Amino acid sequence: MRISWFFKEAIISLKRNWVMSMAAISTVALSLLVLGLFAFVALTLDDLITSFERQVEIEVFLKDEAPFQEVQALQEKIISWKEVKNVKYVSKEEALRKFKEKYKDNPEMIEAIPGNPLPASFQISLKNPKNVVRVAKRLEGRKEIDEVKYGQQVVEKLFAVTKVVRMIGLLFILLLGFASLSLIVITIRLAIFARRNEVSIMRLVGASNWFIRLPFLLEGMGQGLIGAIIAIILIHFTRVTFFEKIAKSLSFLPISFGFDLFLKLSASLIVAGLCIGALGSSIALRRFLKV
Amino acid sequence: MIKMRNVTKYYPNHSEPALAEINVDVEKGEFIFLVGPSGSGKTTFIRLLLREILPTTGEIYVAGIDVLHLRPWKVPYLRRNIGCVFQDFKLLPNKTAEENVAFALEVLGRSQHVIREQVPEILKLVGLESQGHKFPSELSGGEQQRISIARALVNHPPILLADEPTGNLDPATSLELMALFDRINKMGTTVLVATHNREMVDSMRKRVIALENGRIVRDQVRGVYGYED
Repeated sequence: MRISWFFKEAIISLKRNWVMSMAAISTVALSLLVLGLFAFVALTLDDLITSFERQVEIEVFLKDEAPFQEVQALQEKIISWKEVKNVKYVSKEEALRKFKEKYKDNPEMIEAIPGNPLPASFQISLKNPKNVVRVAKRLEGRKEIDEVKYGQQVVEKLFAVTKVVRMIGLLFILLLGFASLSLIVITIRLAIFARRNEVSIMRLVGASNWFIRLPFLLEGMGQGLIGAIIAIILIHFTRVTFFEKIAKSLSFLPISFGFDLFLKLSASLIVAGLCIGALGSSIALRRFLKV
Repeated sequence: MIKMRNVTKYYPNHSEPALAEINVDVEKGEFIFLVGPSGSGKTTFIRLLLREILPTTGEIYVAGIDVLHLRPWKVPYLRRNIGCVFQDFKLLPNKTAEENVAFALEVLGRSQHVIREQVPEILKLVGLESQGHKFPSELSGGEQQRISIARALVNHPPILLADEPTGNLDPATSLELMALFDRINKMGTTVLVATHNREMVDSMRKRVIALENGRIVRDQVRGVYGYED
């Protein structure tokens, strides 16, 4: 079949039905703009949450009397666990140096310490911070280990909060996506209703169903694509003029609103626009294609 | 070419059938007028042939195709055997006359080469070779109906169905159109015209099938309209 004919028909009909096309395009653009801005903020927050989660570490304080070989063997053993990303050994001397560093403005604090009471420790970072409790439990009670600290309550609260935040974000994105799809189905149905004569004539002269569907499908996808591009341009301007200022004024938080994220979002919006256009016109056409 | 056996059609929520016990045989190359008052079943007759609706009981064969047992996705292939002309022309207002005719070929996937050859040919047959670039709104009613006939015929279907083709046209134009139908029939196409137009039927002296309340009351070889309006 001649694909060019379908594209030609789609472009001609975009031009000749430009009012309806404009309506559909602006609907797609607005829906995707709202969806995109929300997703952008949500994803940025997600990045932020992830960076908080990454900071979750386990601190293992070692007994002073544990022999160095055993400590070394333990370190190697912990590294070999599949949940563990890295184990850093902090010797007694290093701990003291850090302590002195930290309180260098309070010499009396340092002077009050006789000798070196600080224990050596491991700082364990995990591949997935969700495993922190499991790994910590496994470490507790070993003979080389004095104490395992991982800020249990803080970690559990953090995960509870991030779970809820993510669920709400996902729910909003789904709702907004559904709303956009409905709006677009209605708009395209109106556009097709305005052209039902064309469809009925196509059927009368014996056009097969997919032959009737394809130009509408391409038209819907074209509208979705243009709408997505408009939404992306608007999101870009919002990012440059607004988000980056926010990020600067909140520089103590690791917020980026980065270009990487923007590119990924743009790609998703284009895919979403194409899908919404195609899906919308198929749903809208179904009623008109019953034999 | 067309065969109906004991065809009865009830519409939902109607106690009387729209068509009852219809038996019709139409041979290849015949010219038939389907006459009868409004509501007598003429349009139902045509919609059954196009498989826009299915009969309640009975069998229908069109161009050798068993219409009742046709799978829905094959319906387009049935319709490619039937050219259709309607009272309201059903032209696409945003396409020129030429494009309207070419459309029928394009939706069947014919090549540009074939389209460029056949469209002017068929426009010449209906006498509008110089009007092809105009939009339907720039043409008279008679000219629009000729374009719709050209569209119906451009694919060379063996059957031409016309539902009240002269309903919106003045008498002189109607007679011109009938002459065109006659010419098309003489070229070998089976033509079936449903009509109210007395002068047309009486002047042509073709086979007439008369419907009343959904039943065939008359089937004459060289008939006349035969009703007082």
